[in-house]
Amino acid sequence: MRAKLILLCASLLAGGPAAAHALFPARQTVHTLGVQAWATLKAINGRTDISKFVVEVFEGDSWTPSRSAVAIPDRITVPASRLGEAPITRNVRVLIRLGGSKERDVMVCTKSINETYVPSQMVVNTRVCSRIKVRAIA
Amino acid sequence: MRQWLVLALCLCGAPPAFGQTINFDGTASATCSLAGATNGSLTLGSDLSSWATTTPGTITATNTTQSSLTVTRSGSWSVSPSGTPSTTFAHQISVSGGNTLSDSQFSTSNNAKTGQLTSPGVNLVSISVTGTAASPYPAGSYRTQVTVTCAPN
Repeated sequence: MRAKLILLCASLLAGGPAAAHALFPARQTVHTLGVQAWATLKAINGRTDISKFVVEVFEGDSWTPSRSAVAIPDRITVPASRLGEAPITRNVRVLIRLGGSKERDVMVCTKSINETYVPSQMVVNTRVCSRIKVRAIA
Repeated sequence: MRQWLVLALCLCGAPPAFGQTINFDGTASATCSLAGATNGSLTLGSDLSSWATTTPGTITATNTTQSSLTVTRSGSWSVSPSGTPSTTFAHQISVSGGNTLSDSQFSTSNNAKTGQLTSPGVNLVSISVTGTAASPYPAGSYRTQVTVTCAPN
């Protein structure tokens, strides 16, 4: 019983979903009367070692860099979390142009930028994504 | 008199039972988050021309919706001394916890391997990297990177 409690505490301290690199919401649909739409995402940094992220926008079906959407800003600084404190968040806005089609599907991602250096290491970068669909109201 | 007594007992008795339902509504956001990234470590083999992972890199992926988990390795060293021979990299992945995936269950495309997190849950992702060359590696510091991507389907 005691061992299980210690294991539980250790796993909680190690950082659960609340202390994660995340992007909310992961999926959303925006309807527009015009030819473009804005969407807002919340970037959450639960990492304790990383503060800088690049914001990438891909076409949703092909993962190629998007020509129809742009994220503002395209680089964000979200201060690294401290143990015991709530993760810090920043908003990212995305402008998606329909480009003549009735629906556009893009994937917006925040990717960590690792600037620390330790030799003979395999560095793990993280990228989390959110899918945005924009539909024209006919 | 007796009838009045019965009526009074009826009125004073337990009230009729009307059920009242109180609802509690909530919404769980669709998300896939990554936490607890731990870098791995590499060791040069005794043949001096191959690198192996001694401590795997790990990360915890938490998904509340069906998501794709992609691990992309770098095609070259991000840090290496001059004269480093051309290196062929490979990486292996395993997932345990909410979803269980072995390396063979990932589809491979160029430098990326993609697996499906079909069940919501907390998943521990373990990543190993190997690198081989045709000639010995010169002395110096080496570093390679992998990028773990979690995206909703």
